[in-house]
Amino acid sequence: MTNSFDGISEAIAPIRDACNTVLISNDFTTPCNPKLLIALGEHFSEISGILGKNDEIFFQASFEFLNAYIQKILFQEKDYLATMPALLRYYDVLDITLDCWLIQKELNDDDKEILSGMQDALANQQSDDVTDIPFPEEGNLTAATEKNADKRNVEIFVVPDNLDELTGSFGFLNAEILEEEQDIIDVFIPEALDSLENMEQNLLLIEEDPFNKESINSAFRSIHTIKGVASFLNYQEIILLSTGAEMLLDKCRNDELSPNSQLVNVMFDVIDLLHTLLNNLQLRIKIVNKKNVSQEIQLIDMRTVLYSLQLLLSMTQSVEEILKPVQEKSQSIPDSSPKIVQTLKSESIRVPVEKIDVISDAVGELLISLSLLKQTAENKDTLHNIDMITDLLYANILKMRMFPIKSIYDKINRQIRDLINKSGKKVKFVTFGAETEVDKVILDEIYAPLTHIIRNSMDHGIEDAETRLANNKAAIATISLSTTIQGNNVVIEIIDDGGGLNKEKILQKAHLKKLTSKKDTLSDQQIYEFIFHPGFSTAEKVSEISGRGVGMDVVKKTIQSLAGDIKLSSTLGKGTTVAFHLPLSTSIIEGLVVKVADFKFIIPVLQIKHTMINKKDMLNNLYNNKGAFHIFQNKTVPLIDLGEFYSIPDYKMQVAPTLLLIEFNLEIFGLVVDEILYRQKVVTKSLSKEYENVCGIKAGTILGDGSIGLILEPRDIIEEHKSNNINESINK
Amino acid sequence: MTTQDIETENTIFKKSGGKLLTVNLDNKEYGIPILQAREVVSMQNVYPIPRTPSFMKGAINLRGRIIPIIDLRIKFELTEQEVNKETCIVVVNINDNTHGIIVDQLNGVITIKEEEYEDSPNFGNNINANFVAGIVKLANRVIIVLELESILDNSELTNISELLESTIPMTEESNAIQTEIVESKEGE
Repeated sequence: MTNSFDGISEAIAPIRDACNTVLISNDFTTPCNPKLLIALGEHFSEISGILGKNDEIFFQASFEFLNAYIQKILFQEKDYLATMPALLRYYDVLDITLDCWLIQKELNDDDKEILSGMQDALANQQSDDVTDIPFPEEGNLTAATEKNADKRNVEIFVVPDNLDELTGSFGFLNAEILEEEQDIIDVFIPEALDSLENMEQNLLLIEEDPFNKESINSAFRSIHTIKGVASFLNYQEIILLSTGAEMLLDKCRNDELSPNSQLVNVMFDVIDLLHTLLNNLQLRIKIVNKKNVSQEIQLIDMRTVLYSLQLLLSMTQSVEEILKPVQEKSQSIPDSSPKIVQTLKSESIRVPVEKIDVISDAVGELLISLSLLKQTAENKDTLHNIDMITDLLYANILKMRMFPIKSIYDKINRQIRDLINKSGKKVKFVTFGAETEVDKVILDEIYAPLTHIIRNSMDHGIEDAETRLANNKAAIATISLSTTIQGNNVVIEIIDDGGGLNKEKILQKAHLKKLTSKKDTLSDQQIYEFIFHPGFSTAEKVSEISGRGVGMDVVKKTIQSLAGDIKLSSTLGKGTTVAFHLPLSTSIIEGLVVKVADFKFIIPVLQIKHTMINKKDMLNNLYNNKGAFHIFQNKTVPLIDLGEFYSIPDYKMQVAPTLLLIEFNLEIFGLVVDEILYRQKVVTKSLSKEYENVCGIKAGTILGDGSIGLILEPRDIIEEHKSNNINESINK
Repeated sequence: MTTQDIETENTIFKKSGGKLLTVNLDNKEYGIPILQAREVVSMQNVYPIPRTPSFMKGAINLRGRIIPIIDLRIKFELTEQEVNKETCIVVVNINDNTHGIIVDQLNGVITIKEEEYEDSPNFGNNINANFVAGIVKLANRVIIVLELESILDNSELTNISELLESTIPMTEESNAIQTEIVESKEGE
């Protein structure tokens, strides 16, 4: 730390000296001398550059702003005589602060705030004059904090007249991204998203306890950070929103406003909007030519949100009066440590996933090379050491891709809050196992299916309070969300104590949709399975929350794409449990390695229901070796011969083959293979584009002996097998 | 001259200064633009992958990466030749993907001048010459410069992938349509 401070100090010292020489030896009240200005601007720009390299974004931005302003004066956009004194004063303050910072090595929070306040003001008013900037008294920065804060409070937040013009264009989403801005944006987006998340959590706490000062402060800091950088990048829309939100929170901080539900709702709207804007920005950077799609919606949203912000900010006093008694009361209660969401300050770094992928690939290769070496090596002792180290490496690389599921829980918490508001039902939401670590890929995908299930529970599952009481249940319903690790699987369960699934209704609907005939006797599981059929909904009315029958099939697809499975259980009147069974890691699959002629296939263990090894008289067929089947537990199981399926040359089914029984949509199918070689955890490796379209082959892997195995997706094979049969019947 | 030709020519001469990696295949000499060649490895076990065009021979394990292998002999409708110690695999970049090409023999790298190079003339409709970028004429040798992109996106491959698409797992929706067809047939 010290070194870097000294380094910065040394690096900028000569430039600052030169800067001061220019300033002292010249009188800036006389008419403009462009040469001097250019020199000054260059000095500022140099300092900014050095500070920027050391990640001192704030100082960098400040000096950059000064430089930009000088350019404006040079191009006569700004009046030289009128603005120069203010500019120089700003520089003085900045200079002093820089000194403080370099000597003390740490500026206190208050000073930082004044400075960033000044900077916000500067950035916001770029179209106006610098002279309008509120300056604190020099040399007494700390004392000036309150003054500065007061001044900010006097500001009135007004939705600008040219809002349409401003937001209609979403200029920053379409604007060319300058190279020098790119780095800042890259850092800005994830930081801003983190800040938003933090703010969201704090808002939830504020809602619980409106007088939780710590949370209000924390939320304020979050939005302030976003505003600061957005101002620097001049993203008008984000600045507008965050300024409004910041002012609101500021009023809450100063007890001028109480965070009532209306206020919190507006804040959540702001967060959502900022989220969309940031996401668009991110998309914009990734896909250069893509025009953003959701502009229209945003424009309307944006306007409503801005006007509600304005409204809330204007009603300061009345609310204050009303709330006074309450406030006093709450203050008299001894404050048992207020809850606050801890911003994680642990030592962590952001690493792009691709980099981790490269390392985990390399370690995977190391493992394979090692196993080849082990077969030939003479000195096994040295190898044993390398083996252990490699295992350690591997285990830790895998852990790098694992994150606690807490982040998802937090997001869902927020969702539930919104749902409760919309539906008016009383629900308690409990979570277990927030610290359980899950693969990043699963984390990214699991949110949508989870919210879908929870929305269904809220809307269809949970009854209203009267019905609940009539059925001897607690008036407040419970939805619980738990994540546990069971063997090699992560199990995420959503349990509600609502009305449960109504089998009769589902069956009726299934008959109506001709999904099953009335003759069939179906097990409970089979009946529940209909829910996952596209377009299937038993809801009597379509509500705002859910009930369009779209989604359960998507939920199932998502879970299956993660190589997982959904299990449903339900008791009418008691509740429903939905369980997602997912593999611990998506890059590693626990599979059975099977042999078919010279091919090695890997079948994920999760999907295999049963294996039947080398049985002679278990094969039946319809005619002429066609339509092979097997009787398993009194059920007819159609067989799919993998050798035949993939038209493997010179392949002939063994007299006593091995069967792998796979469950698909509650039917059982058998895959015929020559033999099972072994069970192994394999690392999935993508196959090239040319092989991606081959049915049923999901990925490849390198096996212990260096050979290539193909990882199969049995569901795809069964689906194609079934559709082939349909095609044949049509042809006939 | 199509834009593709211009691009190939530009890459060969402007970016790599006319350097080609030349290989032998059935006693003819072929050139691969040097910027596309990544490395040459000796012939190794090629693991077949089902349901792919015949010239897609399979895949090799290149230091833990799975690399698809193209057999030019099959592609050029030549008789297969026993693998000998000269047979090798040239690992190349085609459209940002890595592929291996089996060749009879590796010759080396040569530098050609622009005046020695001629874009592929029209060979008529009967001959598929898409994969030829141009021809290099030297005093005592002729080198056929390959356009690797075209080797992959030729009719044989597209036909097969179309074939595959038609049989690829149906979505439940299309399944439903199928069932409807069956039902309507029954109705008749």
